[in-house]
Amino acid sequence: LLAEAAHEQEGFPGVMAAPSFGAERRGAPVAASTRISDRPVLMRSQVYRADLLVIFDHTLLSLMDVTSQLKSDAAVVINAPNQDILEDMGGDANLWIQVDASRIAIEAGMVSSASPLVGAAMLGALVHALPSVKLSSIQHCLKKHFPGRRGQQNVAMAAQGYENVNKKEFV
Amino acid sequence: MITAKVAEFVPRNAWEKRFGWCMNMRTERDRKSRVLTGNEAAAFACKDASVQVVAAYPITPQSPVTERIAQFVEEGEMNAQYVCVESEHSAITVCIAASTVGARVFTATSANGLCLMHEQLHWAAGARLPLVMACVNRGMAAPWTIWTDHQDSISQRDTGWMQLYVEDNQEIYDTILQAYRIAEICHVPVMVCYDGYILSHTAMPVSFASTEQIQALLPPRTPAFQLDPANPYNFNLVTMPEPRKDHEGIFEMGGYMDLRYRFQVELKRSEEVVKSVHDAYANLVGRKYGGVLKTYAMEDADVAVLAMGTVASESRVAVDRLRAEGLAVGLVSLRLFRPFPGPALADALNRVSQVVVFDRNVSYGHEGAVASDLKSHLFSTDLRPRVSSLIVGLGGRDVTADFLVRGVRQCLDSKEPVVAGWLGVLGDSTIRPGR
Repeated sequence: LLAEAAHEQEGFPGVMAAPSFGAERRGAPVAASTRISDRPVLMRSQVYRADLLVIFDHTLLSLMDVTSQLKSDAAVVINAPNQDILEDMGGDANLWIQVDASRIAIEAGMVSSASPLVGAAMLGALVHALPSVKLSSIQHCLKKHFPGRRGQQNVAMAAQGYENVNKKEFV
Repeated sequence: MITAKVAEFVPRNAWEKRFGWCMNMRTERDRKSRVLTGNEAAAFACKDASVQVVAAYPITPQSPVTERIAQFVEEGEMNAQYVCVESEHSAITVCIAASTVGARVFTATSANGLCLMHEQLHWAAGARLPLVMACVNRGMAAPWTIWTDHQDSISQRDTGWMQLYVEDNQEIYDTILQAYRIAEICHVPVMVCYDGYILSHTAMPVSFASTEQIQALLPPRTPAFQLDPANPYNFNLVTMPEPRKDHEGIFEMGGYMDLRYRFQVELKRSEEVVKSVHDAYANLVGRKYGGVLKTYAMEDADVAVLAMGTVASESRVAVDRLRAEGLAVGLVSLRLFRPFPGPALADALNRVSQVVVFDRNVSYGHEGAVASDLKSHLFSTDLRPRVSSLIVGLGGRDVTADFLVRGVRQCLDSKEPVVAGWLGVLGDSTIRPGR
């Protein structure tokens, strides 16, 4: 959705969105990467040095070194219950953004198999770290992919994700 | 052999009556580029080619192609018969049968599924049927893998199928449309090969051709010969070693070897059709892929990188980096692997002193297929560039621009040409001897 939103705006002819190539199932740690460029994207390899990291579940922090593949001036968006988590965050990224996307999803009733569907709220929050992709473009794509009431819910979640962030900056 | 007598009977066959000739109409909105996975791009191409019969058996990473086509058929967006089968062997056999009665057909598979089709691949080619297949490249077991390399399609290289390899999702769509035209002009089946996951499951912008463009480029299939109950014929009977007279006493059937010779000549000649169909498509739709091969920064290159598929795309980034370091490196991305475009390749390489070949396959006990074929062809010319060959990216091992740069550098620094060195084993960039 992020790649599509960027592509549908002006200025990003090159986008590429890749899942982690392997078995994927709900509950297991999975990864996906997106490249966005003002030129066609030619690289086909995995992303090893990211400008922006989006962590959908803060409990992953204690399981693995999720920030090891970041550029020095990177930004991180993390889904966590409150902003206390930012206190522990160091200088391995320039900008940390916390959003309680799980709460937003649960309040919106976007829950499947007891898991909150946090994608739309995370997309809203990451606009702070990637202002060149507009919230309205993301909402347009959400409406396109989820017609009807579900689309409206996703659009509202993206707006809430955008509005309910806490930031910590290292300059 | 196709005689004038056979060509006469072409009936307005049952297929046309039953399914009609229906171009799938699309709206203006759909013509903009969309962000699609490689598998979706293949399914859209199949729909836009107005394929009439699809038979395929699901296998990772091919499954989403057939799922999407099944959805098109189910929702009435595609006027085709989707035949559910119990194996890849049955899938290709259904395609052969449907093509023999005059339908335009499609199948898709990967790896072990492709190899299960193997004997019928020979049949399809020998029977001169214009099948088009998407081969979503995946490594061969054992050990079990679902990730990409070219071992599956390279293992089918001697079946007589044309093989085209592509670099991105747009090229998948465009090449499948071109493949139908090429196949139907040359009476040769075509395999469009694209890397599993790296293209099949990765989303990129894809633009469609318009209905008018497709109508201009891809007219309905008019089979030169077909099975028809109203006018019974036998095809591909036991064929004697020597030619024999037909029932009217005329020597018009060749022996087996004569028919095979004709196939070989026409397959070699089809290289020209690949170029002309590509050029016609490029003129009308505006997207170019160089015909049988693409070149990048080759004008003043002293060293050429030669690769296929997504390794070629990644090599473009590697070439930029090597150029930034002051080395005159260019890229030749081989699009057509069978028939092997030897003269075109020699022409593209005629000014370089060195070639570094990256093969995402290996003929076990020897070296990579592209390197072998290149050297074999060059030996029949006066060109003697130093050819180094590297095996990369087997079973989905990630091929980064950084690794390719280090691979090229090591080949250039090596005193002896590197022959079938393995790059990336144990995750480091040391070239290990492959033989």
